Amino acid sequence: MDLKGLTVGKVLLAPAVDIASEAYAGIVVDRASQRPVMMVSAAGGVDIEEVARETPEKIHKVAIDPRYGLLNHQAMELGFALYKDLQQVRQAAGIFRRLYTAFIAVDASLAEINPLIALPDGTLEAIDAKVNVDDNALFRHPELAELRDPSAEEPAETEAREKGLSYVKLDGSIGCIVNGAGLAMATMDLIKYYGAEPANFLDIGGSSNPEKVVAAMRIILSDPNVDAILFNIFGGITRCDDVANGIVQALDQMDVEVPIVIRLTGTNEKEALEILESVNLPATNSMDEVVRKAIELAAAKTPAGGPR
Amino acid sequence: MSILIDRSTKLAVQGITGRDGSFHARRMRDYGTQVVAGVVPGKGGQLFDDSIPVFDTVAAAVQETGANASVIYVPPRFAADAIYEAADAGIELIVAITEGIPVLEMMRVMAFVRERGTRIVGPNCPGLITPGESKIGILPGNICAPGKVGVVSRSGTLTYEVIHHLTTNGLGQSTCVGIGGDPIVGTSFIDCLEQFDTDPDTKAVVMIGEIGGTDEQEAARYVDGEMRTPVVGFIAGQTAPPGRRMGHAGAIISGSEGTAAEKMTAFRDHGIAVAERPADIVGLIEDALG
Repeated sequence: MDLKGLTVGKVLLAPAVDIASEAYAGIVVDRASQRPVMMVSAAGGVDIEEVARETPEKIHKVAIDPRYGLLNHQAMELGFALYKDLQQVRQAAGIFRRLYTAFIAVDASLAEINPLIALPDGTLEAIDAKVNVDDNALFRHPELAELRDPSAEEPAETEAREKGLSYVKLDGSIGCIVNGAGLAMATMDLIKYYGAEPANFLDIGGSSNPEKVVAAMRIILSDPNVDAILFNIFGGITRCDDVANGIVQALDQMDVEVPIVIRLTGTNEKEALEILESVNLPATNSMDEVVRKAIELAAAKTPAGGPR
Repeated sequence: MSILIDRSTKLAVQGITGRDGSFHARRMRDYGTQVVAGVVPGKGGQLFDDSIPVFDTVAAAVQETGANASVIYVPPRFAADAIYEAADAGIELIVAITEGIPVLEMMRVMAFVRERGTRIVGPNCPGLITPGESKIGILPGNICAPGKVGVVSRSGTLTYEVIHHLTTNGLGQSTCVGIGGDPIVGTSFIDCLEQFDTDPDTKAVVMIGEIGGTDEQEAARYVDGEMRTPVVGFIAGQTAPPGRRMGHAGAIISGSEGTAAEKMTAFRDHGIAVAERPADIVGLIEDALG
């Protein structure tokens, strides 16, 4: 069975229940207030983002002080927003407190029950739930890190993560290798600005050694849509000569049939240019120029620097 | 003039003997920053490079050297403790370079430091620089030049790209601040804009945002309502797909919130000229300076 393009490997079966009412309860990391915020809505079982957009007055929110956690009166207030019967309010408050405990225990960025239902006899039950875990916190939850299912990811994205690269596959034809997430996004945007589409987001990170560059090239080349590889490196912590050495090593190790265009500027730029010159790969120091060149060569599919 | 740091800033480096800490301590000192102390538990009493005293605790460093700023190069699992310690020691400005601090940890940190009136820049940021005077963090000093343009950004290397364009076109900077790419950061766009607006020597500001969250939208309203200094904007991530984290923990479009298009529209609606390409920022700043 496939759901949204992902193969379903396991199914949890639960007894069918009669539903008297459905509600939503969730906790998110709220960037604006810099606190966890718990939200409930009587409009459960539906897309909560749609409710937030269309009828925000149907969502009741409480900001939680992370030092004290969800206080009893806050949990009760959220309960009263959903139910009139005191027994139900109390039961809901208990569920909310446990949801908050779980949210903190696993370092979640989101924990939600949707829907939280009332049975015909009034008893509340969570019949579906979702938890997103903060990637930055996985180091202190090895048991959760183990649960990652690589079969649900692009193989190239799994490989990138193992190599310490940040990679997202897209549908275009210009493969990009960039240092820094903001510059990587700006490079993708510039490709679009000049009329082509990026094949990926790829950030090789700060202190990038040559091996990372080789891995990045291999990942990009595993995408058959790629018609050109573009390097955009602004050396700060990243040393341009490390990247240049990585490119040379990659060319030794694999057959590259698409053109490579390179922009390098910053730390050890001069050394890098000498290394690249020795293998007949020209480089520029302008981001606009390298993007235009990549698009032009991708269209013509001629390798940069002539046949190797 | 400048914001947040100048040549009088006295800096303690937390993690000065580590790989990144030692490398950048030297770079900062060579740039002209007063690096007055290092802090590494267990290495108190040593001298770093025969000149910078190392202390076991931030409190001791403050007491002995009068350090009023600290920079944090310690790994993610120890970074929150390092920030608590610096805030407790009375440090006024903490710059957290570390990437990868859990977001719930950072929320507790923020609640703690707010009560003490401490300012945090970052985490997951390149730091800040007042060209010709002082730099804290990892920004390359050689691409900057003193001048009257303020720069505030969520990014690292994209900021360098923009600074490079400014400097090579004769537009120096008053101060450049990288506020960090995490969902929760200590210093917001608005905090920096407010400071730039009261700095008599900052005549225009470049604000570099990216996908994720609503910081840029709130900043746009602030610029419109409160600021006299002209602001030019750029947003990265117009081609980013929704629901995917683009490197930075904070760079993610959730549902339909936090897109580049939405932020660019907010900028334009509130009188902020928007650059389509990083290179176009130069022309817009020249226009703003008149």
